[in-house]
Amino acid sequence: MAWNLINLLLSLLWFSAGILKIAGIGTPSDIPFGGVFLVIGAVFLWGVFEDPVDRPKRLSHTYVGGMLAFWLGIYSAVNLIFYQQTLYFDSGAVILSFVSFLLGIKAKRKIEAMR
Amino acid sequence: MTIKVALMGNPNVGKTTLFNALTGSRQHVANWPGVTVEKKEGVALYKGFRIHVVDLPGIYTLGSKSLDEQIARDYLLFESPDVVVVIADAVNPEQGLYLLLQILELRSDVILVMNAVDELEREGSRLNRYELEKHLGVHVIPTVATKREGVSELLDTIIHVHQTRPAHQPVRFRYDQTVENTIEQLEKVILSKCENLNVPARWLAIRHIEGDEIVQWFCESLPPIEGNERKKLSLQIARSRYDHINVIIREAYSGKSAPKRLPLDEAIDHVLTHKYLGIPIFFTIMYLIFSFTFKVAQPLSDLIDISVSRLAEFAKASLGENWLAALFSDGIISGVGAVLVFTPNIFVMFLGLGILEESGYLPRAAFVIDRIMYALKLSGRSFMSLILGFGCNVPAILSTRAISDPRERLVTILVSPFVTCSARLPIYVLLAGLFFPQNAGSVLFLIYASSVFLAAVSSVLLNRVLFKGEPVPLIMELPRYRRPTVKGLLNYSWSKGRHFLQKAGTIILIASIAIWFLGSFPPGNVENSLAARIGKFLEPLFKPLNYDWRITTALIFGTAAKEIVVSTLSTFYSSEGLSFTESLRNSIDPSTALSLMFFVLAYIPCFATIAAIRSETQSDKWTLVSLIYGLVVAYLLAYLVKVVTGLWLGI
Repeated sequence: MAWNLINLLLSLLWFSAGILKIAGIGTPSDIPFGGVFLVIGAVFLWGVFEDPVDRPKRLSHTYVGGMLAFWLGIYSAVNLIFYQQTLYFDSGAVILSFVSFLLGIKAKRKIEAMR
Repeated sequence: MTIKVALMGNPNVGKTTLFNALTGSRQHVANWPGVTVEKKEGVALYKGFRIHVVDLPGIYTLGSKSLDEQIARDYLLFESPDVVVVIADAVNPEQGLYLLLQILELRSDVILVMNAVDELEREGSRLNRYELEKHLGVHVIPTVATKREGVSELLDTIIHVHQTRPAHQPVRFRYDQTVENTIEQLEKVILSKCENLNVPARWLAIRHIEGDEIVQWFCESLPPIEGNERKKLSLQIARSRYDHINVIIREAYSGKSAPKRLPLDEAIDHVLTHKYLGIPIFFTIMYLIFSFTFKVAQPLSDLIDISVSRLAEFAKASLGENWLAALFSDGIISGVGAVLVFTPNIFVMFLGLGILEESGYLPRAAFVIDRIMYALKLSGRSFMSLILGFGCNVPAILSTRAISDPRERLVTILVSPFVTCSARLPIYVLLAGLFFPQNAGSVLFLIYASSVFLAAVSSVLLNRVLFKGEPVPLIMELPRYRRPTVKGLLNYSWSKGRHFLQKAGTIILIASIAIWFLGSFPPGNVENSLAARIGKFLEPLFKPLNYDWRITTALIFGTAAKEIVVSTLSTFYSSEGLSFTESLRNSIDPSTALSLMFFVLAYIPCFATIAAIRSETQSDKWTLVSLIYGLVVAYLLAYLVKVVTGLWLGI
C-alpha cells in the first residue's frame, strides 16, 4: 500500500511538472523536455496498476523511475548552474529528482532483499 | 617459442576483456553480444614464450550461419591454433559448455575458462573446478577478467597444455544408441571415401547430421540425410548434450544452483522492455543524452572557442601582416580550432552512449525497438548496428557481419550512412546553437531521431522495391546489468573521442591549409578565389535550397570528412570586424540552417565509410546506389525542410 501511494504521488508530481513545462507556465515552454517529465510520471503511475501480489514488479517501477529522475536531476542542475533560465522550476525539478532517486534506491534494496 | 592461442566462447562472456588482460591491448569491450565481428590479434610475452592470442567473434555453436560466426569456426578449422581457450560465463554456463562439448569432439587441447566467478560467488554459489575437470577432461581456470584474476594461471596452463599436446585425444562423448548407429555408419563412409582428412571422422559425421555445410569442404560424397530424420537426430544430439551439461552443473556447482537471472535484473527488464513503456523510455534516454551533449559541454566549448580566438589574434599580432600570418591565424588556427571547439560535445555524447553500452541497456533497447524494426522488415540486430553508427559509420557497417540474413545485412549496410555519426555533430551543434539557442538540445534530438527514422524508412523502401522476404526474428541473450565504472567510461569515451582529435591533427589540418590556399588565391577578393570558382560552378544546383557558394564548397570538401564542413565555413565566413559565427548568423536564415543540417545528415558519407560499404558489399553497384540514393534523399529532404520551416517561421 505504501509503495502504491509513493508511486501515485510521484507520478502526480512528475505529470504536473511536465504539464507546466509543456504549457510554459513559470518556465519557457519546451515540448520534448516536458515529454521527458511525462514519461517518468508514466513509469511511476504504471507501478500503481501492477499486480499487488507481485511486489518486485511494483517496486521496479519506482526504481527505474528513480534512475531516470536521477539523470533528469543532473540535467536540471546543469541548467540551474550554467544557464539560470528558471530558478524555481529547475530547483523544483532537482528536488523532485533527488527525492525520486532516493525512493528508487530504497525500492532497489527491497527488491534485492526478496531473493 | 610461439604458441598460437584461439579465444572462443559465446557472445558477451568477456572474451575481449580477457584478451586485453592477456595481451595488454585496449580493444573495445561492451556489455552486449556481437561487439567482436572480426578476429583481433595480440601477443603476450610470458616466461620466455611468445603467446600469440587471437580473439574470435562470439559463437553459440560450431554450425554457424552469420559471417562473424563463420570467421570463428573457420579459424578453428583452418588456421590450426596450438591451444584453444573456451570462455564460459560462470553464472550462466550452459551455452558455453555446449560450445565446449562441440569443440572437444574436434580437438582436446582445450582449456575452459569460467569467467566472472566473483559474480557467481556474490549470488551465493560456488564452482568446484576439479569436478568440472573430472567430467570434461580439460583444465578449468576460474577468472575475473575485469580484475585480471586468474590470468597468470591461464598463461601457465596454456604453456602446459601446449607442451603436453600430443597426449591429448578428442573426447568421445556418447549419444543415444540410434544416434551412435548413424554416426558409426557415416564414419565408415567418410573413412572410405574421403582422403587426407585432418579432422576426426566422428566429428565430421556429427556435423553432417546437424546439417553443417562445412562438411562439404572436407568430404563431398556423403549420403544425404532425409529432412525429418536429420531433425530428429539433431534434436537427440542437442538433448544428450544438454542432459550431460545439466549433470555436470549439478555436480560442479554448490550452494544455489547456477542462477540464470537476477531478481533485480528481471525487475528492471520488466519496466525497460515493457510493451508500452519501453519505447518512450528509450526515447527519453536518447533525448537526455543529446540534451546533455549540448548543455553540459557548452561551457567548455565556449572556453575553447575563446582560447582559439585569442590564439588566432596572437598569431596575427606576432607574425605581422603577411600571407604566413594569415595562413596561421585564418587557415590553421581558425580552421582546426573551429572543429576542436566541439571536442567536449563529442566526449560528453560518448560518455552517455558508454553508459548505455556498459550497463547492458543497449540490447534491451534493441529488443524494444525490434517490434518496430520487424514491421519495417528489419530485425533488432540491425538496430544494434545502426546505433553503433552514432559513433562512426565504419564500425557500424563492419558490425553487420553479425547479421545472418544476407538480404537484411545488405539493407543495413546501405542505410547505415543515414545514421548520423559523431563527425557530423560539430555541424549540428554549431547551427543549432547559433540559430535555435533556446531549443538546441531538442533540435539535436530531432536530427538524431530523424536520422534513425530515415534509415528505417529507407530500409522499408529497399525491402519493398529491391528485396523480398521476412526478417529473421531477434533472438538474443540479454546480458546482466552492470554498473559502469568510471575507468571503463573514460576509456570508452577516450577510445572513441581520440579519433576526432587525431582527425583534427591530420586530415582537418591538411584540409584547413588546402581550403585557405584555395580561398586566398589568386590574392584579392575571396569571391574570385579558386574555392569560390568551384562553389559557384555548383551554386545553381543548390539555389533552390538557398545555399551560396561558400556552403556549396564546404559540402564538397566535407565529403573527405564531415568536420571539414565546419572548418570551411569558418574560413569563408570570417570577415573583418565580425566573428565567424556572427558572420554566419547574418548570412543565412534559420530555415536554411535547419535545411543544411538535414542535408548533411543524409548526403554522401565520408571516404572511409564509402570504402567500408565497398569492401563489405564487394560491389561497385551497391556502393554507387548508396551514394546516389543518399544524395537524392539529402536534396529532397533539405528542400522539404527549407520550405516547411520557411512557411512556419514566415521567412
